[in-house]
Amino acid sequence: MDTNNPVVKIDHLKFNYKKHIVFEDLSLEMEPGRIYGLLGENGVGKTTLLRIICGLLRAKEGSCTVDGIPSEKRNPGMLSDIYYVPEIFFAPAISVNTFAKSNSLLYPRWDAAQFQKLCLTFEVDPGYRFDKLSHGQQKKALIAFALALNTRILLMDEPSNGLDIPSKTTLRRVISECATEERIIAISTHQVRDLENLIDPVIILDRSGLILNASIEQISEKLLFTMSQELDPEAYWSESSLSGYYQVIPNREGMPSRVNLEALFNAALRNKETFKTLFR
Amino acid sequence: MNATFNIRRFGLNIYKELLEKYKLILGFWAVIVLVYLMIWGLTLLIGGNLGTTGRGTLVATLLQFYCCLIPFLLYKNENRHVEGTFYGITPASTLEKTLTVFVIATLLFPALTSVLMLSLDSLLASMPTDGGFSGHIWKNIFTTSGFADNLFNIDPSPEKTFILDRLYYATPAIFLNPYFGMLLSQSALIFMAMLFRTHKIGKTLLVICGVGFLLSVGATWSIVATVKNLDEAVLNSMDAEIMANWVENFVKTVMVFTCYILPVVFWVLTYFRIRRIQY
Amino acid sequence: MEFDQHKPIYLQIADAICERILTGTWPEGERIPSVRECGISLEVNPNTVARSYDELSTEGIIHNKRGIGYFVSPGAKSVIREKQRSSFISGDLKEVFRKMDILGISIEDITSLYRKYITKDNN
Repeated sequence: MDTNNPVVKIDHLKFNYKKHIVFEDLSLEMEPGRIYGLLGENGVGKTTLLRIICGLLRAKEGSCTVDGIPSEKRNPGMLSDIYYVPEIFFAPAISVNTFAKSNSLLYPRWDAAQFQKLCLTFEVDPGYRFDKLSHGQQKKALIAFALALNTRILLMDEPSNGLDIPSKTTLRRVISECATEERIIAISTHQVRDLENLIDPVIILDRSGLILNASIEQISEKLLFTMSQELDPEAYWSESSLSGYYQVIPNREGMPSRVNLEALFNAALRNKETFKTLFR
Repeated sequence: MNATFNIRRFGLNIYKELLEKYKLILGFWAVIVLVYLMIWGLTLLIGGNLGTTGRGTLVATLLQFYCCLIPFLLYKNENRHVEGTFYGITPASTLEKTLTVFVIATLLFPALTSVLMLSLDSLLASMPTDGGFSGHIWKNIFTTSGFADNLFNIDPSPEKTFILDRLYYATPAIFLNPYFGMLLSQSALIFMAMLFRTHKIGKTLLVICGVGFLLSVGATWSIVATVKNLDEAVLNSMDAEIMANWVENFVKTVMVFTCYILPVVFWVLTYFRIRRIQY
Repeated sequence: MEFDQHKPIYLQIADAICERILTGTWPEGERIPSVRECGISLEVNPNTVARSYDELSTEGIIHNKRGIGYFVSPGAKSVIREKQRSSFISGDLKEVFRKMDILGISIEDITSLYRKYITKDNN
């Protein structure tokens, strides 16, 4: 298979919960070897999008395909190559080991030794009852399980939520470790700082659809994140501080700068239409 | 690999669900044993003696009750938005998932629970106590004579060649046993358990009451309508035999309905429900 | 590793690698950590590290031996020094000149200060 072919393809997707419209017309593609960061304000449908990709929800119009197969079909072959870590989930009243044993049966690339190792890294005892663990421990156990399944597509909804600071460091390490050439990792987050330096490309959603889906390299080619004394008249976003203005401006001279996700996100929300054309 | 059915995947899915649910089933069995021990204890306290007929009916009724309850216990979370996501993304086909429910709730649980209860009953019956239980009831449960047989002298007369009669007499004898017959209508409850997300048992009871009410209203209405249209003469000549015939036909209709139409309809509905659950 | 707010991450990683080569932590000819290992220890996207390694490879500081990994190229130190010299002249020095202009510091002041610094250092 050509690895450059997009594996997840969303085409003119429309979705609504009764009267609440989530996506009017969303098109986007994801390809292997990337860690996609899904950003957006609350309620723009980050969770909905992840659930549509793994077949838990069905699009009202348009399509979402994984390797060409519509995900709403819930094809077992497709499902065995995809895993979704929800933000909130219900831990069953069984031990983490039993959960891992029973839930991994249908995944061909499950690695039990890797799971034990990841549990150790996350300092979770898989012998404990899943529902008796604290919220953070439950989340870490599920992430360890999800990573050890070695599915080609891994969707994580706010994985850093509820984790303490050392666990967030571990999370970044293990995600970096598990990001392989053939894997698509998609992470939705509103706490961009938790996963900064890890997510690339960035997808920013809003109510009308997609604002941008671009790699960090593409973003830094087009935008300059800079600290300067004068406010640029064309600045997309700025923040004043003691040492001047931190601003996001058009990258006129092709200067390299570090993409600050928070600033990017704020700039994108203020200039939705401009960014849509800029990153088309 | 076949996307609709694969025997290895099906087996693994059954194993998966059993691994997750066996503790729940064990707990339920503990309750079942306790309830039965209490009944036995009560008989001992009162000083009575329960023979095979009474206990046969009791055990069969209890088993029916447990089998009606089990879908709601085992498939409590599978269709819920938050709790059901793990079920939703399980890489088995809808057919395999539906058949897994069938194997666990309709085959394995009833079979094992019957053996458990009958063994317990035999054990209690062999206790050297004065009162309590006497005689073994294995035969009573598995006897294939339907309750219709006890009511009427069924004798397929040559003129009764209606489809209803043919279907009724072609029904495997085992399904005319009230207990096994119930397992066929259990499909309706499994569908309800998969249909309703919350307050499953309450809503199911409401539906059953509602359907029962509608059916009785419909039956009353049609009887009244028929009687109105009947001649005085026919009404006067109405005797027990005609009434018995009516009732017999009614019972047969119900049996044929439960044995053929209901299970098929509800298993198909369950399949489509699992296929279309939105999380 | 703490990253600076302004410079792109991939350049900061490249700088850190150069620093290690200059100080001799990673001697010339030795194997350096793989892209993956580096990504894990820095908690960054492996693609970002790959970009740093690509950049350093084109500059001739490291090279890739297929199937084995990345190695520090012979002569890497001098390449890095040359690179840093030109970057100092075009960057830091410019900033120094600008400050000198604003604060009214002449080149003679700098020369004498530099002489003092050298003699102190030799003692």
